[in-house]
Amino acid sequence: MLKVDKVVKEFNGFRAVDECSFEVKKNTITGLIGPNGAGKTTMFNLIAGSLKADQGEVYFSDQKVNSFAAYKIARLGLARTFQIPKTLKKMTVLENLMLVPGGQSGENIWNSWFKSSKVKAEEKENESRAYRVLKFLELTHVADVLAANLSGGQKKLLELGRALMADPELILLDEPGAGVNPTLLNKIAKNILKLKEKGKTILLIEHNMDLIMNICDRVIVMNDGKHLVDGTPAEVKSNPRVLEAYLGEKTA
Amino acid sequence: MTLGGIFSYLVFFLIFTGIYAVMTLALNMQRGFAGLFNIGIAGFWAVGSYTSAIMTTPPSAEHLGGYNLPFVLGLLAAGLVAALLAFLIGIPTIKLREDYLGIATIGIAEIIRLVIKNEEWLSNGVRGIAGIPKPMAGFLGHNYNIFFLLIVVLIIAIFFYLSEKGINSPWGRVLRAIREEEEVVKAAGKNVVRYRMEAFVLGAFMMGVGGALYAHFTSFISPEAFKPMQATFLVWIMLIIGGSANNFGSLVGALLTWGIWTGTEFLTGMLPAAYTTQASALRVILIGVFLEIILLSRPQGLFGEKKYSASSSKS
Ligand SMILES: Nc1ncnc2c1ncn2[C@@H]1O[C@H](COP(=O)(O)OP(=O)(O)OP(=O)(O)O)[C@@H](O)[C@H]1O
Ligand SMILES: [Mg+2]
Repeated sequence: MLKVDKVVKEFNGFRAVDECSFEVKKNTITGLIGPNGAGKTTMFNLIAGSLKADQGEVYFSDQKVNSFAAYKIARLGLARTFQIPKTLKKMTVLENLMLVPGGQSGENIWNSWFKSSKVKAEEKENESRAYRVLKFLELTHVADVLAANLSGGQKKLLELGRALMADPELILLDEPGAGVNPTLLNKIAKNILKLKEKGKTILLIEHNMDLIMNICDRVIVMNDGKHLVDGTPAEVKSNPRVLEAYLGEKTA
Repeated sequence: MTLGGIFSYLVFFLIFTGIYAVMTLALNMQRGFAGLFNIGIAGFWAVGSYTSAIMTTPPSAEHLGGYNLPFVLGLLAAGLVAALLAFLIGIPTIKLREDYLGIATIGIAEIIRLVIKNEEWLSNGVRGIAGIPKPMAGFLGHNYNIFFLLIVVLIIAIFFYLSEKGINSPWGRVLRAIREEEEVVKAAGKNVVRYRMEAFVLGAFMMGVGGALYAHFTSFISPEAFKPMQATFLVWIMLIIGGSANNFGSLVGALLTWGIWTGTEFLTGMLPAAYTTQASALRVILIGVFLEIILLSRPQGLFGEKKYSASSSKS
């Protein structure tokens, strides 16, 4: 489904991602963990095409996507959330969601002028889909609020909402739990599992170890831009190298 | 002035206002909705004017054509050629940062002015093209301008309607989203460059048509008419005063600005003839003061940004 092969990304000579390789199997939930600054978000940006790798390859749905523009990779069936929420500030929460679905006929200016009835029908459909996502995220009451006015946690949820609207094959979630209340987090965990049941593949960055241990099939650990280990949650948990990465050098 | 004289002056004034309103609606499509920095409106205006002139004048040895085509085809060709020009400028620049587009458009506008000044076979050089036909000339006799005003109003109405419909659609939603946060739009699988290009090309089409209206109304065009002050910056002032991203504001901005611009002509016209050069500088200063006053009291422009929505069920 997704394969990253010896990928390197440097920022001004600093290797944020350093010959990192791993694979994500179809229809699994894979955790991507590691200390702060390990290069996880950078890796997401490389996979999604927001950044271009200096070296190495990224394969997604049987294609080498290194040089693809971000929107093309998205169209192959990839959705991603941003760790630091990015919202369309002057647009309503509802509009933030309705933007997302691909292939809307009204996105073509000609159709929007001359095929109003078709466009309107699709918009209705799109709107009810957005309301279902809002209901799930417990955001219905802010549907008409400008995204700029959401709280930090609500913005995080809106990120997740956009990924849900996309209906992609592979979903990259960058700390969906950060700043979200525990009850809702449980619900999100359940929904991630539900997405898997529907055949989707999820790659999940998260610092909440309970969440990682509970729902992931496999866990990949990154440290200093490198792939450190991977395995089942239990294997990773008991791996001394992982503990060292989290505690060792940093506190010593 | 007699009452009739005042009336016909008013019609004349409104036609010019209307031509500027077309330009302002066009710039609003590019700048207001898509955030595109076009400071070479004069170029698109000139291309529109000359295209329609060449298309509709009778065959002439002095310039390319003319092809003696009907007015409507002249307008259409003017829009299409200006749109094509925008497309060509857009290919290398539209995916870059916005200032590159600005530099490209202002550069191309000057190049276009030089071309029409120097390429006599095409545009008759500095002598310009005269006798550009008015549609249904002679119709309504002395009151012909009323008919022309109706044409201008009709075109404004069409552009206004299509622009509003476009921005209040999923297409417009993507455009507005691009202005807010490009990354989000890309992550949703939308080709940002395509949308920017469409807005740029559509705006240019409107500018081309506006240029054609200008050519037909004045009957005579020469490179002098397409200087940046009247053809580009006045339109920007109109947009800023009316409020960016608001089509209605664009219309009001055009009316007020053109009113003040022509008003200053009266004022400076009262100066002794020896001061003509100072007079034209004074006009620019006066319009600048007007802009300052508006911006200090209403930084958003008179109307500010309108709330747009793609969902018809919402207000
Ligand atoms: N655009 C950038 N320019 C320069 N350095 C960057 C840039 N993006 C990331 N870095 C650096 O790359 C390293 C990895 O950052 P990254 O955001 O990928 O870490 P992370 O694993 O997601 O951390 P966290 O868990 O804190 O989110 C950090 O040292 C960071 O400072
Ligand atoms: Mg991160």
